[in-house]
Amino acid sequence: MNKKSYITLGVFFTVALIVGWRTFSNNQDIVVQQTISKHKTATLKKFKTQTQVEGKQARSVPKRDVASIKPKITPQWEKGLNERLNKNLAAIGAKATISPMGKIKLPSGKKEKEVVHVHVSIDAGKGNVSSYEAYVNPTSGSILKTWNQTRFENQKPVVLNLKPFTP
Amino acid sequence: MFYGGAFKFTKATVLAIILASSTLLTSCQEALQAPTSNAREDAISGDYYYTGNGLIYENNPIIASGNYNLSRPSMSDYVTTKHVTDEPYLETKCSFNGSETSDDCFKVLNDTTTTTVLQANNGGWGYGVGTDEFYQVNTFYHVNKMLKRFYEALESGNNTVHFSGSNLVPPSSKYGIENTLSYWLAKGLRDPNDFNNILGVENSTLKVYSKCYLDPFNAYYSPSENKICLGWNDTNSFLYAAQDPSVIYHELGHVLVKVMMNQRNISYSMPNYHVTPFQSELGSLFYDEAGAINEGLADWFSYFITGRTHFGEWALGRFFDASRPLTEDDSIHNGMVSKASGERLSYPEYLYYDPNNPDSKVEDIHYSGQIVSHYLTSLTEDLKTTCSASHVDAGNMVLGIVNETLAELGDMTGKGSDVFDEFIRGNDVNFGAFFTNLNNQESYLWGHQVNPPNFRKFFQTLAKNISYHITNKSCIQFTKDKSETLLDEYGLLLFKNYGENKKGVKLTDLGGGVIQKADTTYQDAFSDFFINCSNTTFIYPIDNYCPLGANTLVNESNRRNSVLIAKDFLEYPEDREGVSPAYIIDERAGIEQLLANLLYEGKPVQTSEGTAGVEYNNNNIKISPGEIVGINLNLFNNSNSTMGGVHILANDWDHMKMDDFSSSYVNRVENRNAAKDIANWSPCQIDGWPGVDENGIPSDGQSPGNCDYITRDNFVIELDGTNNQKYDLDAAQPVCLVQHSSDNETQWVSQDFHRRSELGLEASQCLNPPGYSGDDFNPNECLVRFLPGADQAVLGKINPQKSWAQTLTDNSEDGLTIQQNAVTLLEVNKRIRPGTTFNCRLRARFTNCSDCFEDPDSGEEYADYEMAGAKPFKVINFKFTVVD
Repeated sequence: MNKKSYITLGVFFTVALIVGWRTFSNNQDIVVQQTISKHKTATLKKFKTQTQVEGKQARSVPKRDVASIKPKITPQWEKGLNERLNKNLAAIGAKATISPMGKIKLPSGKKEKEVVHVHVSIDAGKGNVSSYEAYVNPTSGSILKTWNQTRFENQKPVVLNLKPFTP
Repeated sequence: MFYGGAFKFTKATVLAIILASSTLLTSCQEALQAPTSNAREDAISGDYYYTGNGLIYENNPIIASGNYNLSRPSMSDYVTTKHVTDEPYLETKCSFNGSETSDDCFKVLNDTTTTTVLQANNGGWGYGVGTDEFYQVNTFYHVNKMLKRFYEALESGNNTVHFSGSNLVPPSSKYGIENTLSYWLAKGLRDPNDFNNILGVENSTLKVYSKCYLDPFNAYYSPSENKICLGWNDTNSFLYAAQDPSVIYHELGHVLVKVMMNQRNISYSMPNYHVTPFQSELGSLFYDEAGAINEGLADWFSYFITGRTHFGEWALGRFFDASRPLTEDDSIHNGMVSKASGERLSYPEYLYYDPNNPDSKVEDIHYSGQIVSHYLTSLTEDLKTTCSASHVDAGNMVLGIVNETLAELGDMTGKGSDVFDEFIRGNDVNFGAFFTNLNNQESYLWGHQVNPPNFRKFFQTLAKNISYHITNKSCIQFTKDKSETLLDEYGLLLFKNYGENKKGVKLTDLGGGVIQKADTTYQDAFSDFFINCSNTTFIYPIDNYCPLGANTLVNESNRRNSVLIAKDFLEYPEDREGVSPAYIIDERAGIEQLLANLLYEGKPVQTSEGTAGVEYNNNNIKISPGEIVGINLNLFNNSNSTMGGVHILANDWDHMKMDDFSSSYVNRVENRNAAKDIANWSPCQIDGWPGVDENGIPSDGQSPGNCDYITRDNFVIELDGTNNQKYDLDAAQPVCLVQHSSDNETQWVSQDFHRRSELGLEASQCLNPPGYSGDDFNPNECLVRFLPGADQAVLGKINPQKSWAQTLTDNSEDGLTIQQNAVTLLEVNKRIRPGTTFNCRLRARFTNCSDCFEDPDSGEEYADYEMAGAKPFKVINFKFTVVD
């Protein structure tokens, strides 16, 4: 192989590197788009062609103009919920992510009560991710009800240091 | 290399660039996709082009080889060629009875970072054994195989229930399940601008990941994300959960349980849909009987597909000692278990039985669930023999009654059957009539905490469905006596009647959104169904048979192994020598871990920051101001038989009386400023406590508001026309009362009374203050409260004449290793004066209880609303004094 061949080969791999890098960078953008909120996913699913396109192949997504992105204002309930969840989860080194899904009015006795529907995902590392849905108080962020919890097959019992108690 | 400032390409330079480029590309790829564990052994073969075929494991390597000591096999020895799919990608719709899911019913992906679905290679799926693609194809094949079989059985079961012969009981499975798409994971399509507006229904796509990185080795089903993760990690990188089809069937079994439980939670009446605001699940604690039933069903699904009476031989069995048998004939069992009468895997004796380690005693839903899987396998086998049925036909019958059972237990509409649903039937005859899980507002609480499925509730409902849909329809040779005898062999004849004729409640619409509660139980709709034969409004063409409107009784001569025990034998051992009445955790780190685990598992508790918190925990083995403590009641079984499924409730219930019915407003600033009449509550006497001289209210007759009258709807605090908060007349109240001394009298009073007359605390200084609880603020939990999310406990079983701790530890009561299901969390206000005494009225009952589910005098089943009172429970007075 002469010097020219080596140069050609080197240029080829450098170009391949740049193309590859950009391709994978675009893929990561897609992931972000898909996880904006469940709410949006539900809306998208109504239009089947879009949903199918989502999963099947990597494709370019129009880049958003950075200047057009409005800064997200985190509501008070979300701040409160986030702080409380992550403060309590520190004991097991896990981190929670909250995805708002929408506001809904629930019947409450003779009236209705507005709550926020959220999806909570908790990452405890090494692939161990727990998730569930919850209704939270739209003012304080208190969790009112949870359901659809992850069902793990292998659940090690917690060793609790119980001590006899005489009231 | 640089020579005198000039850059020159050499061989080494170019090779370095190539190497660097290759490394970077490889690392980019690895960041997105887990590495392929094995090198591809076979190239993609042209033989598979345009066939839809591929290589798969029909069985796991242990079964395929017949070698139970297989350790590191050559996996390519066990593959076979099968038709996988003609779809172009590994995703497909499902169809049921001519209807097709609105979207793909499932798709298979490699790992959780993957978004690309594998595409067929020229119409074929012949990927090399051991490659990521191979495992995806293998997973797709088995998921698809099971779903097709499930829909075949579901169609058969639904035909039997709805179209075969006369319907003698109101069917719970949906008649028009195609209209709601709820034969698969279905949900309402909500208007983004008005979440309450349901535009239609749609199916969710289940994502099945064949190579989920999970350390430790594991598998899971996440219903909130509609995904199954089949685990793999680099500790034993050759080991994949997806290598064992029985594990795939088990995990998918959980999905199908979810589907069947929630089929009634979407209703359709052209052109509108009703969707319940939350979904039902079978099992909600670390250990509970509902969870055990779910695991048992999932194991049975493996047998349903494979016909093999063992689950998880490969990865679980070979490497983790965690495979499970499905029949007593399995050699893994200890010598005590056999199919001989009296030697079956019976309830409650075998609740703690791990066949891989028979000497251990663990509360684990997978092992408790073996009683369910063994019974269901035996039932299927009996149907094969008795009815001369094939495995497929017997499986169809069992799946049909399981589906009918789960449809009723998981109903969050409160109706239990379309027959009683005024929305579906298009009339208002049954408006506000509810027959299961109390009503449409409280159904989640009732169905998952107050009265959740346990072995009694599940098998009573299943027995009813066997009787009406197998004995009366599919196979008359499988008689009621045969069915009861088999249930009894497993200790599961835990009921005295079949509970067909349900007592419900009816809430009446007075217009303008005002609901008036009926003051009696309601059975008219059931009577209508059972007796009024000429009623032509039924939506089912075959509901013209007129059975008697009474519950079918169990033939008591069939009860030989199933022991029922009176609730009074369950004791809180406060005076029993050598037995600790309770255990406590008040060490900070322990409570922090408990709170974190509850959050992780989806049972978050909301502490009252600033008024109580772990920072006050002092590890003095007492209950002190400001602490959050874990309480385990070490209940004692004073009978001579084993108790199973002891369930302790610390949630609000109807045990207090409003002093003056015209003063019903909650004691909070807004109401006092508005000059509203503030309510005060006093404790009803229960089992004679507290005495009249201690402020106890004695029996006072069945009128709304009275102690003897139990709330019909469990409504607590409502808003009046001016948005002021007022109590419902029979509002459920928090469990803890406080001892109050004044004028040389000692009385038991509400926490609200004590906080204002003794401590002068404002609402903002209470636990769960208005800042957290909003309109639901209840000052009767101002001082101490059991934290919602940790206000119930389950003790798996208690041996005769033993405490729960003695049962788990062979009498020593030392060295308890337990799961969180046995512990409740108590929150204590930091402003309580040391020396203050509380009495918390907890309620407990157990599954094989003779008088917890039916009235011992009348023999009738308790109505759902009665679970808000004392009668079905043993009331436990947990008394303690707060000390510094």
